[in-house]
Amino acid sequence: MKRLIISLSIIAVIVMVGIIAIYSVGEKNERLYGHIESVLAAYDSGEDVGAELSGLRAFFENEYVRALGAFVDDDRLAEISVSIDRLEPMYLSDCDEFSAECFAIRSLAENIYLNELPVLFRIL
Amino acid sequence: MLIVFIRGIILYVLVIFSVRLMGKRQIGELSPSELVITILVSNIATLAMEDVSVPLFTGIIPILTLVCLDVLASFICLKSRRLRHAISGKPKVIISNGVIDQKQLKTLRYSVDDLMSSLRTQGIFDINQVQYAVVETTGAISALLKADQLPLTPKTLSSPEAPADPPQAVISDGDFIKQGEKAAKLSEKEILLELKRKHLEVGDVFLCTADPDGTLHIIPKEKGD
Repeated sequence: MKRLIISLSIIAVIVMVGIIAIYSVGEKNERLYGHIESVLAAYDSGEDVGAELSGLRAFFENEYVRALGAFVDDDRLAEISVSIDRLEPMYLSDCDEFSAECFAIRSLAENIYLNELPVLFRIL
Repeated sequence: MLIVFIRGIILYVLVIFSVRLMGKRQIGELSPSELVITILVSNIATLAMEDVSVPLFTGIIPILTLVCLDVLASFICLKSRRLRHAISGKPKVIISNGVIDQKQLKTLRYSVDDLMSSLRTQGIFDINQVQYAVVETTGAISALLKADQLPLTPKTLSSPEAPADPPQAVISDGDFIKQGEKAAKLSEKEILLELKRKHLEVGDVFLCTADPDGTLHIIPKEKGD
């Protein structure tokens, strides 16, 4: 009976960790989207984009990666990191794909969230 | 390098914990479900240990899930004989009254060489010495020697008995076992009558075995179970 209780407790913890992971990814994504919106708004209005990009990078490295590193593959996080690294040179060279790259980061983050959801077609 | 080392330590502790959680049966002979779990756990642990790009949780969670499911399944098997037979299978009699059941051997895909080899590991080199043999759910063969081949004990010295198959379980944990009834050549009615004489219901019986001559041995359930 002791083993059964331990097993049921572990299953309950796994389910809880799964739910926390979904919530955590969703919450961090919302904040990442906020930073991207700020970058895009600064870019459109000609404000200090450099400061916004620094804020985005700091948030990604100090909070996003640390919080999601336990649940998400390193490759997926590396893809976002590479895209964020590309933003500054793109801005400095006045590349017209700057906004598209911002949306790409958003899309990559959204994919991480969608991959955490236990939807039937993803399970299968 | 240190990351792989630390992951190795964590997974080592986890696998030891998992094997302990699965229970002592795991360490001895493996049933089909336990074998599957053991292979899967070792494979998942290896992947999670080697590939540092994959979060450790993606190794830990499937291992714990498999082990917990195994514990739950063994608990349900304890309660349901049908499920137990579905998951672990049933022991099959391959030699009864000294006669090999060739049909059963074919069904089990057991060759005569396999049978002889298993008997030899038990120190039996002549199949004619075997009175009764069963293939257990783990695949191991348990054999009973004929009465004239058994070691001499004070009991056999005083009453040399005719060769007979071992007793068969006819009621286990409050449920009738049809196979046992057939082997013991007793009808359900006769068993119920015997239980009635002892003021017992079928649900009150923990184990009831029947000798080939029809004698019943009843172990009632302990009160409070």
